[in-house]
Amino acid sequence: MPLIEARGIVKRYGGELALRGVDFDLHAGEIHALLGENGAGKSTLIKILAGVVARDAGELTLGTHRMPAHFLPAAVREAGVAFVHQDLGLLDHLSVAENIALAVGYQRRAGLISFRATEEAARRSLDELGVDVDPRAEVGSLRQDEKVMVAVARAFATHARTVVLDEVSSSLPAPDVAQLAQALRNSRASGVGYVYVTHRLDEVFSLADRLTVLRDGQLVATSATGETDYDQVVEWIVGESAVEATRQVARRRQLVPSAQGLSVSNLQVSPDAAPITFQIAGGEIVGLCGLVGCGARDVAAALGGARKPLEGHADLNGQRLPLGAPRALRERGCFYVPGDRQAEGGIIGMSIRENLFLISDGAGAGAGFIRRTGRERHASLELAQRLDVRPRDDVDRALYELSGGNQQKVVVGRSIRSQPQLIVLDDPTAGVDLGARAKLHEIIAAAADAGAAVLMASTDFEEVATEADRVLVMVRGRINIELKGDAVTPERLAHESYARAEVGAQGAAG
Amino acid sequence: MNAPNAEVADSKRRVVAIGPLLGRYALVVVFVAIIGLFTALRPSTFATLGNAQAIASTQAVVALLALAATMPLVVGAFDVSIGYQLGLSQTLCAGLSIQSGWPIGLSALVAVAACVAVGTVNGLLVTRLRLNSFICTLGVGILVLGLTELYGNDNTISGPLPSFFTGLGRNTVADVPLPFVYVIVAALLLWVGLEYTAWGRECHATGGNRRAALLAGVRTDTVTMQAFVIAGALSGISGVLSVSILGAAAPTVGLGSLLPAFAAAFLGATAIRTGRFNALGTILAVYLLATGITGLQLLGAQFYVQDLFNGGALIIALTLSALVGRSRGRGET
Repeated sequence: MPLIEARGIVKRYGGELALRGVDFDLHAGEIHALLGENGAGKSTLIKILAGVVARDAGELTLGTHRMPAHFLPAAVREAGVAFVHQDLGLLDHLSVAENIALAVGYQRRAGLISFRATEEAARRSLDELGVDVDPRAEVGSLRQDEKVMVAVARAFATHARTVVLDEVSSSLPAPDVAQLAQALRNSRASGVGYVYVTHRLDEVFSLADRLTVLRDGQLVATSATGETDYDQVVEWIVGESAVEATRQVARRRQLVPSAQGLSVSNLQVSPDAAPITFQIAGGEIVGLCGLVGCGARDVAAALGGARKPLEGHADLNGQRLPLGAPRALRERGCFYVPGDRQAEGGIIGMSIRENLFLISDGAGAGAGFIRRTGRERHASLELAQRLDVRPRDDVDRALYELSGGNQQKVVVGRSIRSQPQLIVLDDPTAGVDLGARAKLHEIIAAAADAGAAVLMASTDFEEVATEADRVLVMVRGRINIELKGDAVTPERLAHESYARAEVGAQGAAG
Repeated sequence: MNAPNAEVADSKRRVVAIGPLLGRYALVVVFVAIIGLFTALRPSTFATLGNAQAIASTQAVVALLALAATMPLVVGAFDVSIGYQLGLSQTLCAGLSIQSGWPIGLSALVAVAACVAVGTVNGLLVTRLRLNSFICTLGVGILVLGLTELYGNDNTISGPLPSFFTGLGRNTVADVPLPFVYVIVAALLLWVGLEYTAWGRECHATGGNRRAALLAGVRTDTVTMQAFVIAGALSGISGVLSVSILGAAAPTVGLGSLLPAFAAAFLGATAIRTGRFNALGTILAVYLLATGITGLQLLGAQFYVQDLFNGGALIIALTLSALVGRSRGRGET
């Protein structure tokens, strides 16, 4: 009997279909990978399983429970389904046994907590799953893959026999992924079934028994891992037709070669990333893409001044850049558009005008004394028009009153207003509607045409393929390949991003 | 998830619409209403020049302290040591002059300088060591109280002071008490600095979203440091002013003014520049509260009405501004 049986699941958000009749099942003792790009419908399906979102149509059976259209997360727990998310929900300063006890209750003797009995209970759960972790160990001292297994053991101790692992590996270094794959495969003997959500294809081939691919809310394929291959799965994920369509609109700019520009040497941002070296000419847009966690975002943060690199340096027009010092970078004409607009981009309590002129540009608007009716007002009105910020002609409106796309236009506008030399963008159009997206791309291209070197870090292959002159694909902290000209297609970028990492592949053999 | 989000956004928009309704001048209207009410009830005692002068000058110390509280709040930090700094400044100013026989000008200067030094320490602790500003200024404040008690022996210091000095606290120009003039000058300076200069823009940006401001190139640490130093200077000046008004000093006297000062700063953020801490709003709030309390006392209310009124007004104002400001906390995606 399957642990999960979903038939024809439909979910509609407003007018848009997020899931168009998806089937999915999971058997006891199976690891079933769920794959698809961002927005393919993976997270919607997971939310429906979790009871967070109600389905519009379709049948769902969890274990022996036929689930009604509306049900609560508590009913899911009762049906023996547990969820382990990326943050794991463990308390680092408590022991493994205590973390498990927090879910199932402490063992007691004469009304008092018995730590020995609590440890024994934890040990039984760990043993049944074949997990080799000391229940007395403090969780904070464990490797990340061991922590995942502790989270699994905690779910198992609450009698969960279906565990949904939601991108638990995206922050794991490759050797730990191999260890995790081994531990998960060992634990299948206990009868636990896993739904394994991930972006990393290589680990799917090393640990999953079956895989299901979603695209645009549709089920593309469900297959035993052994009966398909790597290239086939990438094609399922990316889709052939979409590739053809975007290739036609791909923008190919006429580049004026320039000796000026950015030169990055041996830049290392995090301990498990490699030092990387690359150049961007003035007027050139270089894409830096890869899967979530590939390190592209870290490189952007370092060049933008949000993170101090561990090693290496960057030169702009022959001058060493003060990485790690945002103010000094801005004064050199280097601007950064952070990926997290809410937390790091706009100041939502301040007006459009104030956000555009947060810091003085020396001579012109925003300098010294500010006259509200003066130069700054004219400059911001003009800028807002150029950026097509809606509502129009009202630059004193607070940022929080704007849509996400318009907020982002303001954040990007701040970096293009005074002859930028370098613009570093991190997922500049994430969560932005199509109209604003096109406008943002236009603004960025215009800045490049005016001579700025542009680095666009993005997990959106289509965006990078259409907007960048040249693309560096990152895989696990390294630049895997450089692509330019006609080689830059979303399909090729996806292929290169999903490239197998050597260590991860070894897990399959072990 | 789109559908529920849209709903939340809708309800937010409705709440935001109360903003203009409440308005930047709502507090002014309330102020005028309070004056009108008590004038009608107690025309002979409330609506007099003497009463207005008394309120204007007795509240000057609290008003300066409220401006001191406002400055760190603008950059998103608390400075709860300002009340203790007021006590330090008072004790030093009176003690050096009366007990040690220093010239009053020098005593006042040393008193203010000491508070600037305390502000510098606060700023360094918050910007360099990244300590939580509320807790660390509380610690610094208690430390300052200890030092003040050590110096002043926990006694009230009083004695003869030069008459030109006490005159600075007690005289009037064109019927306006001098202390009120200082308050207005300080408030206008802060107002112009915070609202009409690039520096003020950086201060507000730092308080609005420190991380985003830093990444945009705002010198968040520099302006935070400056805010604490300015808070120190203002606390010091308020201490000196209170000596010139009272002619005496006591180490713990500043503490009574600490909470009203914060209440006024928060209440003031609901006016003039709604949702932002601002100097004019702060001053407006100080005098609104004082006027209300004076009126109630003239009606025969007991001493405790002061705290009831201060606390009640603050909670009502915060509740209203939270309804307006709820949308700011999260924004829309």
